Amino acid sequence: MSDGTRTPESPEQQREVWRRLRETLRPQATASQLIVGLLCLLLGISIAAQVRQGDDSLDGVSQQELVRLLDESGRHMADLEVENAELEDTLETLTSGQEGDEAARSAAEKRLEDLEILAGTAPAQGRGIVVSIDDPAGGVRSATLLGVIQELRNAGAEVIEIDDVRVVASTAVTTADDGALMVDGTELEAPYTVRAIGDPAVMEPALRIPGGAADSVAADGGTLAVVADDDVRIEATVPLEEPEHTEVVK
Amino acid sequence: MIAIIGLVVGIVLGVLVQPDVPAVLQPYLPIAVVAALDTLAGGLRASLDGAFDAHVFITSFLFNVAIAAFLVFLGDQLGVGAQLSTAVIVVLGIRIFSNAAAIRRLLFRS
Repeated sequence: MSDGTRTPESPEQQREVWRRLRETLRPQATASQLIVGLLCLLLGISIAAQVRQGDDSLDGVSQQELVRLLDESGRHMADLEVENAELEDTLETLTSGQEGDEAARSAAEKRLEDLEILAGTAPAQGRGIVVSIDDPAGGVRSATLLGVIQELRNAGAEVIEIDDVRVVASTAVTTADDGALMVDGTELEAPYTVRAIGDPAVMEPALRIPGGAADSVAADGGTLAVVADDDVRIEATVPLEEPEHTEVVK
Repeated sequence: MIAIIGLVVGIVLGVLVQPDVPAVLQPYLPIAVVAALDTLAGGLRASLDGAFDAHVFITSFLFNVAIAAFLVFLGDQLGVGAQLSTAVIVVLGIRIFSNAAAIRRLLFRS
């Protein structure tokens, strides 16, 4: 593009160029100079307007550009939708997993409670009966008391306590040297109180079966009285012993 | 000199008044501005060469601006507006640079 331009070769020519520059910069009130000034004024206004216009990002963007932007944001939105769906899935999985854990935990807790009641390691309460066996003559035998316990178990008693001793699977009813009854090594004194949790409507008649527990006690010279109670509390517990020889079959 | 004063006054006016560019002209204004800057550089170079002619300058100014705007308009109609705008800008940019180089060589020999 610089073909037509002569590069000054001597200091004189150089001075001539600078003189021309000064002349160009000197105000001249000719018509053409005024028009040039006017054009430059328009140019200045345009520049200012355009620079300001550039601030509004979407104004003056061509249609093609707008379509591209729209396309881009549409794609971006689709991506976000996909990501959103994935996250929803994850959330659902985690929530349901938590629910499953919760259910398993409460089931385990329930089972633990059941086992604690069965093993006799936890206090229990519920409707049941209170059996009072009075034995003024001291004639009630251990077998008779065991018979009462068996009868109660047959009738569906879930938790049984004699005086302050919890009756569990390993409970033994024995006779002491002085003839007193012992349950699990604890000596009992008449009258004996047997508490049982279960259905009173089943247990009460079961004790009174002719030739059954009540009759056995009467035969031994004692008396047996049964009272149904809506809230039998059994506080006695037995310590759980770690099995020494037994292991769970896996 | 009047040209420079005009340019400065124009910029100040534009900043103060904040004119609204008509929507129709919006795509063409940036290209037109670059074309005008190119013409301005060309005019300065010509005057240093001693070959400045106000009439040539005025006509080339208007023509360059009009042709640049027309090219952009044509590109928009053909669906290659963005590319043609880029092409025009590149060409004008090259011209501005070569004019500036010529002016520099004229003013500073070495």
